[in-house]
Amino acid sequence: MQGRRTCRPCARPPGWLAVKLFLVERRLPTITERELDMLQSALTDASARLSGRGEPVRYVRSTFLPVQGRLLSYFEAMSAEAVRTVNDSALAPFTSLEPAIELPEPSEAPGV
Amino acid sequence: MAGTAVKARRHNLPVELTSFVGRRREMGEVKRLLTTARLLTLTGSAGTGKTRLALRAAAEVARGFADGVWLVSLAPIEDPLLVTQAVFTALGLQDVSSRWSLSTLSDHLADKRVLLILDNCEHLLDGCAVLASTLLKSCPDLQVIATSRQALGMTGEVRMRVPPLSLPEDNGVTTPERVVSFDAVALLLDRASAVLPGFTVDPSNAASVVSLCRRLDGIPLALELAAVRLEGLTVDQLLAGLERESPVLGTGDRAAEARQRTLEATIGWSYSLLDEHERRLWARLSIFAGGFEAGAAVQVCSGPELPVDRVIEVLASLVEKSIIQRDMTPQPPRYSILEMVRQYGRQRLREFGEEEAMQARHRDWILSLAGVIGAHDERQAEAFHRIRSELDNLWSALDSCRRQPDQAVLGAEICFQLIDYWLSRGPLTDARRTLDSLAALTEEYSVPRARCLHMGAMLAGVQNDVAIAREMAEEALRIGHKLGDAQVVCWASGALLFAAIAEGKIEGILSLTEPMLSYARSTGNWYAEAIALNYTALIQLAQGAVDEAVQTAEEALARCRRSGDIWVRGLLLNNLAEALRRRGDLEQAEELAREGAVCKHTLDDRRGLAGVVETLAWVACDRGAAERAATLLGRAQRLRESIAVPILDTHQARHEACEQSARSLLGRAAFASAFQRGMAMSDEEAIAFELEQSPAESARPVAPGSDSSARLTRRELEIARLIAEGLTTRQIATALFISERTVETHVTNMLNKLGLNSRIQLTRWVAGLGEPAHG
Repeated sequence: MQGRRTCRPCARPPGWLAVKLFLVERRLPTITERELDMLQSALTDASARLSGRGEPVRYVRSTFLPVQGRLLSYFEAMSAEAVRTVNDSALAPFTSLEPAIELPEPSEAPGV
Repeated sequence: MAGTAVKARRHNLPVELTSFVGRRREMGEVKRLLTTARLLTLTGSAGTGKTRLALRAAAEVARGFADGVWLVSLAPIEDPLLVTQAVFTALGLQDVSSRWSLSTLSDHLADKRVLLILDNCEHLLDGCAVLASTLLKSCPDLQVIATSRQALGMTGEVRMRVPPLSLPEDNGVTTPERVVSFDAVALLLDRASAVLPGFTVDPSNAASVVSLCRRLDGIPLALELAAVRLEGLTVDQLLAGLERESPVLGTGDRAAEARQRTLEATIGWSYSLLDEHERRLWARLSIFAGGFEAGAAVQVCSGPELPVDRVIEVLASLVEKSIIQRDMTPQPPRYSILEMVRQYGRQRLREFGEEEAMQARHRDWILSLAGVIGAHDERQAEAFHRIRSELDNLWSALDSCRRQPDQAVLGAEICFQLIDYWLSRGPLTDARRTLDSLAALTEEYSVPRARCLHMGAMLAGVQNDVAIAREMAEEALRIGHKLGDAQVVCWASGALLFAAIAEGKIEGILSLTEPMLSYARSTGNWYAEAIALNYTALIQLAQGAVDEAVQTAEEALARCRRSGDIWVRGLLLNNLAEALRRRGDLEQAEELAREGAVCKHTLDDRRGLAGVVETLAWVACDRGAAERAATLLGRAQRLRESIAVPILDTHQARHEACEQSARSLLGRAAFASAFQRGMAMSDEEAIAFELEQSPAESARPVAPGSDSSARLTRRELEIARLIAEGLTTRQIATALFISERTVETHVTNMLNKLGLNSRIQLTRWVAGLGEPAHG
């Protein structure tokens, strides 16, 4: 599936026109808030390191579903491989990595 | 037990196989920097001795690190996600929780004064940087030395370049006294003296020695490879040989890239001096990751061009020539190859066209090791120990299975054989990840995929990830039914049962034991039968049918006892003990739980041990031994903290009731004191406490049905049984946390008391007791 995305241009550095959105899922049923902070920091660091070497990746944000113990993390990157590399470098295993589509906010939707 | 032993040692630094020469200035600098730097990275080109310098400096500052100095060897690791596991292994920890491994590690190190040495980071720079950054942020007393050809490139990193060894100037002073004051010459002299006693630097060879050291750029590894050749060559002949190998080398004052070429050329020159068998073996040994034993070298590397009866001899020859290192500390001795030398061998292996064949041999060897665990027999404890020492090779073999889709079936088979190891020691998350990727490579409706799914379900169940466990087990069951494969249906049903019991949802699940028992009985598979009976007993117990549960659990234990397996036995003993406790047979329950504790200690199964210690605590509580119960609760708490795995939800209420009862009997202060005592116990104290009661009670015989056994103490009878199971003195000592001498004393006493002359007679005597009194 092609990752049609609508992230705001101002959210990413210049020259990132071809980036796509990806969703990474991992199961962490007992993760705490502090651990989520640590994980976010690791993902941010790893993204910055890879970007610094000319492979643009940005860790966007994560959503945690506490009942199911699922953590969904969004990345912008040119390829799924770059997102995989970032997660591997962050020492953070995942269960799936897929292209994602971000829907426009209701106010931006046509006909509204 | 290895992990426990490592913890007690406070370091895992390897024994220095050769003397440490020179580097006074660099040593001083490293120690000075470590007074302030939390992350010190030693950089330099390959072979310059970064690791050696780091290890020596760490040994000298070790006293300042109350919780130890730990070497994490990263060279054998290719998958960055295994970096955290490498630290777990180095620290002797087990990763069996469902948490993010790095946060579990961070919690463990949070209040500890530890020095970590991350060795050979260059191929895993990003992962090492994230690891170091995360740990240093949350562990205020942690310090890290990294060795790498490149710096990690992170904030707060202090870098120190490790230069080649100091060299005399070209055309400078060449008096022998002056020449040997340079580190490069001192190293050459030291290593040459080892192979050629009496070798010295004198006026006749001083200029040549200087030329040789300069040609080798003062690179320690190059100097060592050259020095061993002085046994058969003069310094001038050696120089001439190097000249032929690469005439452009040797200014003695060049950039890192040029030094890399010098080292490669020296390694190539060493290779050129070997005979055909030595070259072939060097190339084939490069298939190993993280070292190997001689037996493995024979099994993997022998073949048409290298007969099996020559491998050991050729291996010894490579050791003599410093191509391979031999560490005599472990038994059997372990061999290793420096990464640069290994990489050179790997290139030659490709040129021989043997890489794929050697990978296949390596995978087959790992499968044979895993198969010993999967056999569930008396070799189990040794097999657990063995696979732990081959973890790098295991991950390497599984990685090659994951990279080659046609090998995924073999990977699934390796995992299938290893499941009990992973269930007890982890790492659960990494094992699950491996199983997921293998499952994705196998055919949708196939036995290997079903196996990956049922094993994944078991591991997920242990991690309390029950929804996923159920989903995977159901999928495996669907595949089993579609294929009409009774074995797949058996184990998928087992995984479903496991998830349901863990969740406490037992209604209507007893029927799932039927395909398990049917398969087990039709194929004579005691293991499947014992596991099925165990699930049956657990369900009966949960339904309140205690007498039936006891009877079923005893039947399961009887199946298991004949096999020699101790992992399942420990599990069954604990569950039977709990059933007996519920029935009020406290004495027998305690005896069985104690035996279960021995099983779990023997396998270093800390998750299983925590469960057994909890059972012991509940038994103690029921018989009014409140202080003992409180101490055992503390011990269990300590174990659970060490593995970051909480008690099962289904056990929580019972556990709290025990705690409340002990507290009300003792009073708050006495309870806290006893609990703290359990928390603070060393492993040796804990095993003694778990297994023995008061001295008077421990002297009481435990086999009242036998006159002769009545003359033995509890400890003696315990040792007699372990001897009968085939354990050596060393294994028994390790299992019971006592010295080998103590074991021997007990054996002597037993032989005297029973009027026997040998261990063989003692074994027959134990067999004559019939089923051990515990059962």
